[in-house]
Order: sequence, then structure tokens, then C-alpha cells
Amino acid sequence: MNEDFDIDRELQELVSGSPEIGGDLGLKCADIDAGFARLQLEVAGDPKLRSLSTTTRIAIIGGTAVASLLFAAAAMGRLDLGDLLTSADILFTLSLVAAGLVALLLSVRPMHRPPLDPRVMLGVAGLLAVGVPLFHALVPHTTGSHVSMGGASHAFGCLARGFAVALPTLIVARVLDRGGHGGTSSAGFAAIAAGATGLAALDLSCSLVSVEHIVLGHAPLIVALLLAYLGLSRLGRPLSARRAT
Amino acid sequence: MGEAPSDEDLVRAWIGGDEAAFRALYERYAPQLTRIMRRTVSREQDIQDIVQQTFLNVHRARKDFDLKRRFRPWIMTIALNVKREHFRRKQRRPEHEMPEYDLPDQGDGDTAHSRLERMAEAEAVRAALATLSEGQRTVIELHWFGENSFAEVAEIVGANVSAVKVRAHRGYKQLRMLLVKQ
Repeated sequence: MNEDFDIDRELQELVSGSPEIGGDLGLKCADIDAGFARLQLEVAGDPKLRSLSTTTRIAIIGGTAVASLLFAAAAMGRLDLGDLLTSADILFTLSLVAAGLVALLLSVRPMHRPPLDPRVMLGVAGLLAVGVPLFHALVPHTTGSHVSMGGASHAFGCLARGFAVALPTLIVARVLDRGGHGGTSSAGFAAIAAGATGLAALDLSCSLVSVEHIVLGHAPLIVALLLAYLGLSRLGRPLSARRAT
Repeated sequence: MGEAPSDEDLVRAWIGGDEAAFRALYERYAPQLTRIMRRTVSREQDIQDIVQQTFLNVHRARKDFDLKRRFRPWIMTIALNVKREHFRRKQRRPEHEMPEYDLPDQGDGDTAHSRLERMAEAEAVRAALATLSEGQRTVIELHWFGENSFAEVAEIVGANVSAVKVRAHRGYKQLRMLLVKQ
């Protein structure tokens, strides 16, 4: 017996038996005029950058991240891509690039795509914000030019530098944000993408490789940026809106 | 007399700078979206907000529209996502509430009594729909009230046609049972 056929036949019976309940619940002409006038006002006040295509927005945010990263590495006198590409540490940097890219794609996921399961999103966010940085902190670096010293004492300086590098990417991502699937998850993934940029910059520039320094000064960067950004966004909203959610 | 332009023709014209085409799309889809939302959302202000936000999102995303694809599933997906997001922000699902809206007149014979009857019927459908799982409710909203084919519904919800039919089958069965009881 073909199961699809059974469902088709039964569905047809069920649907044909469904009455048109409640009549036409659509709009009246006057409502259409008023609604379109209101829409035109909203469209006129909407920042034009949000109407760029998703591909263009990804290119702008990704370009900002790469530019920030290269600028930071050059400013800190550590831009030696030749050395990086031939060292075993390239895996660390690539893992951060991949994390940033995934977070970026999730942050700009357009509304015409079906939403992803919130549990999957939470799992991916956890992996990107905590898993990748911990992997980065706990697996020993191999680059010979790095020195294992300094410990926790320079941790705050690295966190601050990471924040500074991440900031332009985060600002650009938020300016281009359309407020798509879940405002918080969109903002959260933008913060993760920006944090990955900051972490990659630290990876390229910091010469301290002791586990305690990386655990305290590098690994918390994404989570710290995420919490700071979400906290500030919440504080920045009117009290009435905070109560509503 | 010429045929009315297709949705896709209107979108093409709109992207090319013809604002009248956007108005035509609004006239075509705002009533449909309102009708679909009124089946499951009872607060008139929520319904208006969802429909307006849908069109604002359509406007923002117009350059993402693939002209080789159909507009209808595209806007329906946006509308459903806007509705989901609207209720997520309010931290509640589109639940059964007392209605606040005035139903539109159906014509000369539409008396206050028949409008009250229609409101009661619409409310009964909303209450029955609220008992379904989100997956079943969405499929039924799109198929029954939105008059989309199962293939279109599958495209909108991002599932395959067989899975959508199974959800619809279970949902319609439960709905029929509930509505017949009343």
C-alpha cells in the first residue's frame, strides 16, 4: 500500500470538508490606503544600508574584519603572513576564521529563509564562543618565536586590545543588521564573529603563549564581548521595552 | 483587456525603481496576510504590526529576491518568521485570546447578528488551532487560510512535501474533531 496515496486521499477528504469559517477576514480599501501610507513612512525612515543584498552585507562585514585584523597585526609589528602560513599554528588561525565566518553567516541569515532550531543555534553559539577559544587556549602553540612567560599579568591588556580590534566589525555588523531571525541571536552571532576577529588578531600579535595567559587574556574575549554587547544593548533600550520582553 | 501582471513581474518592476509596483504588491498581499493572521492572532494591533513588519522586511530584502523563483512562498516565509519573532519578543505564542477586532462587512445582507456569528466562528477556529503543535498549525495556516499548495508550503517551512502532508493530515484530523464537537 502506498502511504503517500493514502495521505493524499484522506487529506483531500479532510480539506474538502473544511468550511470557510468566519468569512473574509481581509482588509478593507481604506485600511490598505492607511497601511501603505504608514509603510511608506517606515520605509523612508529605514536606513538604506539595511537594504543592501545579503551577499553585499557579508562582503562588507567580512572585509571590515579582515582589514581590522591586518591593521592590528601590522600596527603591533607582528604581520608575518609567510611565517604564519608555514607554521603549525595556522590551524588555530583557520579555526578562528571558520568560527567567525559561521557566526557571520548566522548573524545575517535573511528572513526569507526558514529559521533554524533554537537549540541548534544555542549549541553552535556555545561551540563558537567557548569551544573554539578553549581549544585555542589548551592545545599548546608551536611557533618558536612565542615565549612562555608573563602569565596572567598581561591578560587585561590583551583583552582590551582584542576588544579594540573587534569593535569596528561589531559596529559595521550592527549598522547593516536588518533585525532578522531573533534580534538577540542575530546580535549575539555578530558579537561572536567580531570576537573571533579580535582573537585572531591576538593570535597574530601576542608573544605570550603560557596557558594561564591565553586562558585569562584571550579565551574569554568572545564571551566577554558577547555579554558586554548584549548587556549594553539591553540597558540602551527604553524601560518599557525591557518590561515588554 | 490585458492580463494582470504576475507577482514576479511586479517585483522585477519594483526592483527596477517602479514604486507603483510595490503598492500593487501591497494591495495584493496585505489582505491575504491579514486574513491568515486573523485566523490565529486575535489582537488587531498585533495583526497590523505583523503585516507592516512583513512588508518592511520585504522592502529591506528585495535585492535578495531571486527573480527565477516565485514571490508568494518568499513573502509567506517572511510573514511567518515575522509572526514567530513578534510573539517571541512578547514571550508568548499566538494563543487563544478574546477578540478585539471588527470584522469587515461582507455585503448588504451582513447584519450585526451574522457578524457576531462570524466572530464566534473565527474565535472557535483560533481556539482549535491553538491546540495544535506549531508545525501542524503553520502548515494549516498556509494551506487552508493562505491557499498555498503543499509544494509551496514545503518550500515556505523548509521541509519536504511528504513531511508537510503528514503534518497537515494530523492537524486537519484534530481540527475537524475539535470543530465538530463544538
